[in-house]
Order: sequence, then structure tokens, then C-alpha cells
Amino acid sequence: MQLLLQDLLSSTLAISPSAGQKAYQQVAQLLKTENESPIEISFKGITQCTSSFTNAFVGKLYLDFPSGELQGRLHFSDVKPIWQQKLESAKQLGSNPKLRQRRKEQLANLEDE
Amino acid sequence: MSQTFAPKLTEFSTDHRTTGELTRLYFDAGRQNNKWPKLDLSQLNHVDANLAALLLALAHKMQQKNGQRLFVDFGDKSSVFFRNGLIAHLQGKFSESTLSDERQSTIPLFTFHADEHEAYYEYIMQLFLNQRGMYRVTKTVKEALSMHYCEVFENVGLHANTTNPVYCCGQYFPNKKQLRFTLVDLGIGFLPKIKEATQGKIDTDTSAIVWATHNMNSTKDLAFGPGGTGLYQLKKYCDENNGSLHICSGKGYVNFIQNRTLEHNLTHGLPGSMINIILRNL
Repeated sequence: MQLLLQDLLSSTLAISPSAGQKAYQQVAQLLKTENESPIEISFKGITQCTSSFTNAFVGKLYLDFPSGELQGRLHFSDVKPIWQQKLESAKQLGSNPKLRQRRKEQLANLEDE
Repeated sequence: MSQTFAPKLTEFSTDHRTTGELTRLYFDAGRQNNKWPKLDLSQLNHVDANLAALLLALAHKMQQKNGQRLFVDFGDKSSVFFRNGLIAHLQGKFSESTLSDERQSTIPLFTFHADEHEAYYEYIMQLFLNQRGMYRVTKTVKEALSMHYCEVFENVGLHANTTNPVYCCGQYFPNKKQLRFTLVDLGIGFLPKIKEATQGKIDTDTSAIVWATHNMNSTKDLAFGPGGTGLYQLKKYCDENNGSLHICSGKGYVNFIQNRTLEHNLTHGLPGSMINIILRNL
């Protein structure tokens, strides 16, 4: 399945954390419902991208889903070279074991409340 | 309120000295809140007009906190402050349609709320990167700069904890081939969240600023994803391109220049944070 990021955002700007959350919610839903199908997100048409966005989108996906599964299923295309490092940093951050543990504890606390 | 007090400035440059003098003005205004401060710029030889962002931010804070109004005697410096919009802002009469800069050396003073992402992006693209000082800068570099400036703005929304706007202003110095850009917020500063995130290990304003520029350091709530690369990447860009990055928060003022880190402590704290970016060889 191929999706255009600008369609997910209804914008050509991938710069704000809120836009990142919007993309996260839609892709997270697809990952849960489209069993094992690969998902390709194209950055075609996006005019600007920040780490605030990639962290809130890709970083959070890597925080909340097993990184092995994402590496196999989730792919990004048409990414400008200048943004590539942001995507990789977001994946790395989200895969960090200490952050993943903190996130697990945070979610567990939310369930208890 | 009819009395004024007149703090003296010795210079108006993008550095810790001028910032220290302006924060002292803000502090003194708080102690003399039955008087209005009157700032005299007329005797200065030179002004960095990008600091209009800091001046307007402090003027608004004084108004909010003490009901005070800041008066400024611009002297023969008034031209640049007309052209960049500071005078109109201070008079409460700012309007985009009244901006006129025939010398094309200013990036006008604008304010943006944290959720005005697209408006801020357009400001950077149309008013900053199209400024005449940038005409020799390649499209690739402009894309990188636009990205870094957006990062800085988004950082404010994530961390500053304020409903006050962000104040932005720039100035091109053709003789020096330099462009100076200032962004100010009136938020909580770097230290409170960083002190909490590090369990008190980081407990000064300057060390909090340095910590924030290290890769992968962040105080973001993980509900919004991981964080910590924005300021690091901006600092890296400045290091690699003969630029300077100055960050001020509270009483800390840190210059990152040519892979060196110069830390200064101000006597009186800034009620927020400021980022100055100096681009050279334009």
C-alpha cells in the first residue's frame, strides 16, 4: 500500500509535532488493521520537514511498535537527502531500549489511572 | 503614571553584554513599577536592529507584568526601526501593509503564536530567505536554513510552556556580509524541565543550554515521541558553515562559535529564551 504523506497531513509541510501526531495516528491504525501488509509512505510534494515532525511520527511508531516489524513493513520513499538523517535519528531514538522502557512504564501508569 | 526612569545602554549588539543590559532594564523596571522606563539609543554609534525582537518581547512583558510602557529615544537610528516595524509595534500600530524597506536590509519584526506553523514558514521563506543578503546563497543551503529555522520555532512550541507569541527579527549587514536573526520567547526557559529530567544534575542556566544542544538530549514527554536533535543540528550547521549560534535562557548566555563554547552569566535573567543566529560570508 502506498500513501502520500501530503494526503495524510492535508498539507505540504511536515514541520510541527501536531502534524507528526496526525501522521502517527493514521499509520499506527493501518499497521494494526492491515495485517502484515507493507506500507510505503511517499514524501513526494512535501516542501519542508523537521525533526519535531519525524520524532512525533516515525520516532513514536518505533517507540510503540516492535522495530523488527517496522523495518520489514514500513518504508519511506521520495525523501530528500537533507531529511534522511532526521528519519534515521527518529528510528534510532524510538528504538532506544531505555526510552522504550520508560514509554512502557508511562503507558502502564496511564492504564492504572 | 507619568514619571520615567532612564537606563543607559553602552551598546546594542548581538552579544551577552547588550543582553545583560536589557535584562537589567527589565529587572529595574520591575523594581520601579510606578515609573515607565525610557531607553536612550540616540547616543550609540551602531545598533543591531535584529534585537528589536528582544526589545519588543521585554516591552510586552513589562506591560503584562507591571502595566508599564517602554519609551525609546531612537535618535538617528529611527530609520532602521521604522523599516523593520519595531516603532509601529511599540505604538500598537503594526500592520504588514505599512512595512516598507527600500534598502532591503531588514527582516521585519513579526510575532507568531506557537500554532502558527505555516505563517512562520512563509515568513522564513518569503521575508528571510528572499532578503537581498541571501541572493548568492544556493537553493540547497536555503532549504537547509529554512529547515533549521523551522526546527527552532517548533522547539518553542514543545518546550517553552507559554501562550505568549514568539518574536522574530533579522538584519543584514552588507559591509560585513553578515545576517543576524533573533528569535525570542517568553517561556519558562531551558532549566526547569532539564533540571527535572536530569534529577538535578544539571542545575544552572548555562549548563542547561549546553545540555540541550547535545544530540538526543530531550525533555519531551514520550507521549509525543522521542526528541533531542533540533538544536544539535542547528549548532552543527553553524559550526560547519562559519556561523555562530547564541542561546540565552534565564541568566545563561552561551556562544557556540567555531567549535568553541563560550559561557557567560548575566546578572539579571531573561524572562524566557533567545536564539541568535549569525550567518557570515553571504
